[in-house]
Amino acid sequence: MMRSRPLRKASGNRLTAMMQVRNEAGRYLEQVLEELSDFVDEIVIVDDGSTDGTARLCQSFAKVTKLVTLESPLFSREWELRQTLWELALSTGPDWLLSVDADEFYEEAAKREMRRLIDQDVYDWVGFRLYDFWGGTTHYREDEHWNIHTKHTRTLVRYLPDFHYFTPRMDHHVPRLPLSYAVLPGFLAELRVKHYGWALSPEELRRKYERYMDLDPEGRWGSLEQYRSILDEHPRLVEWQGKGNSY
Amino acid sequence: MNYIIFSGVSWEAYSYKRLLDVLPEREDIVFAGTMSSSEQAESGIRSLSLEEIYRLPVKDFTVLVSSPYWLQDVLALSPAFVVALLEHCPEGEDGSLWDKYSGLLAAQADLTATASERLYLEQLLSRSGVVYLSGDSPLSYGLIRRGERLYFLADYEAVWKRALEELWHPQDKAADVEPWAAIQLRHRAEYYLSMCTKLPKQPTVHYLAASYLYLLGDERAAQLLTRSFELMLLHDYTDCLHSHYRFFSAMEAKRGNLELAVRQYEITAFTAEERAVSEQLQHWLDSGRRELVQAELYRLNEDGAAAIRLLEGAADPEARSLLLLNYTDTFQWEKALRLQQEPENTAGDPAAAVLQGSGAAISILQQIPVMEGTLYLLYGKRHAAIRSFLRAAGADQGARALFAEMADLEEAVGRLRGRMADDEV
Repeated sequence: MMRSRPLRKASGNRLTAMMQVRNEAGRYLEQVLEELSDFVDEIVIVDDGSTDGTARLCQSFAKVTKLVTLESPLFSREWELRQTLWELALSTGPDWLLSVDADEFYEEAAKREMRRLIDQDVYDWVGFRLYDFWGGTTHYREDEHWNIHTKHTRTLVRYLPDFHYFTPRMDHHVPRLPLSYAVLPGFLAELRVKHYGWALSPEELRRKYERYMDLDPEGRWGSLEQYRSILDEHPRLVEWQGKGNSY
Repeated sequence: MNYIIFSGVSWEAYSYKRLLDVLPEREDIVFAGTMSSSEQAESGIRSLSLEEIYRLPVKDFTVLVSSPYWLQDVLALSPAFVVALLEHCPEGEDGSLWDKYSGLLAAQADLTATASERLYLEQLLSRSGVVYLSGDSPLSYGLIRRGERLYFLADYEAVWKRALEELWHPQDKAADVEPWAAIQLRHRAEYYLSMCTKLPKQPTVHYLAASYLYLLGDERAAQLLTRSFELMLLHDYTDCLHSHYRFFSAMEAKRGNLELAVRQYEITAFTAEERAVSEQLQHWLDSGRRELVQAELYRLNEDGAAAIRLLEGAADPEARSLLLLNYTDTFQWEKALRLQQEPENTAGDPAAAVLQGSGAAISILQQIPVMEGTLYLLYGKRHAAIRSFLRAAGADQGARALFAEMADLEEAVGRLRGRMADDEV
């Protein structure tokens, strides 16, 4: 039998967003899901043992087609958590996968261009510029320890069956997508993603710092200096500018 | 047994003296060039000039050639057997010329040997009858007595000795004896498997272990290659898609999992040419021409040797065109030309078939007169070579490059003979 389609399709690709969540009620999750529902075909979620109404909130979105709720959290065994989410995402038979955090927002231009980014047969992944918003949703942080936006982060990937997807077995700071994508051709888009994970009050920042130090007191998985910089009283903040982007 | 040694360097600098000591059934051994009388007495080897060598009954001799620029003389002499001792390009020589004529020497040889593991692996992927002249086993694998002296053989020396013996006395294929080539592959595989235990985070040793296991047809190869791929990623060595995925594809092809192998190849196919190959593979697969698929996947992983083994016995009419490609890639140009000149059968002209079948092979038509000219040159038919090169160049200016290469070869041969003559002064 003639196979119906090539490995890389230039049209008609389905996009599945994948997300892991934990106690997100009352934060950004609802808005993230609303926005995702506008530009992805399907959303899959692993709820890492939430004790609030996160699961109910997820279920209220029609595009959330798969939701797995873990009885005991895997936060301290991040590799397993990533693997669970990856397998759940693959069960939707996706063409492309978008890895999203519950506090990440793609700017308008990125959402507009999403279909053009996936309906091509040249690149297998797309990198975006992620900005860490700090203390609120108007400024992002930019200094020695907080500069992720100066590089591209791979969040959008083509799913290629029969490729070996390798994720290192680490407890923390596990890459959000398998490392294997690094060998495939990618596109570095000048499109931005707002990350609100640090858009917190000073008290919330301190609690987050303490959580990191509890989990990784010796800086085995990340930099202790960066952990300490969470408490900087006067971080260097830059005002976010909306712009009509092209990529 | 009688041997003639054609070296690229003087006797003093000749690096295979120990291998000469352990040659099987040594009788008359001749070094082309100069040796002092004490060197001759000590080694039991006599030296002769080229003119004197041409007067020997060379049909009774095996020649050991360690410079590709002796190839014209070797072909003119037409000895009983040719053993190519391949080396990396020495300083001061043109690398591409050296590699091309080393390839042609290996293709003409009855046995190829090298002390370079890289060249050994490259040759294993081009042909059979390849000996690795180095090893890592501390054990002795045999013993020979010559006069008063005893020689304890290293693993590769035992293989070298047996390979030479089998040139004159081929092993009965029905005999239940492990072939020497398999013994050496097994030794290399065992060595790298032990290295994987000692260096569990080293991607290259895992890759080499996978390579030898693949050549042995051992199923563990895929597992080792997978680990090598993961280690490459952990080391941030990201330029490994082709090296690993084409290899995965060849492994699956060897196991008969052709559908998976084709999909794995497709992961690596980005250019228009690669995509055309991918479509061709799928088309062959859909029409049940599995031998062609398997052979082409071997070739795409640069394993011309496996492709040729398969295609030489293949019934598919289009196998001839793939065979032509593989002969060309592996410098087996006489076979390529013979195939090209065979009377047309149902498959038609193999070069034309290649042209229709795969974008990757379009240049084969242009290469045929180049191959023909090169072989004329090697057989001393200079005018015929020039005519072929002119035909290859056609209307454009391509002839200049071919003539420049011809001059480079003549100069390299001249230098080699000059060095030999200087030694004789």
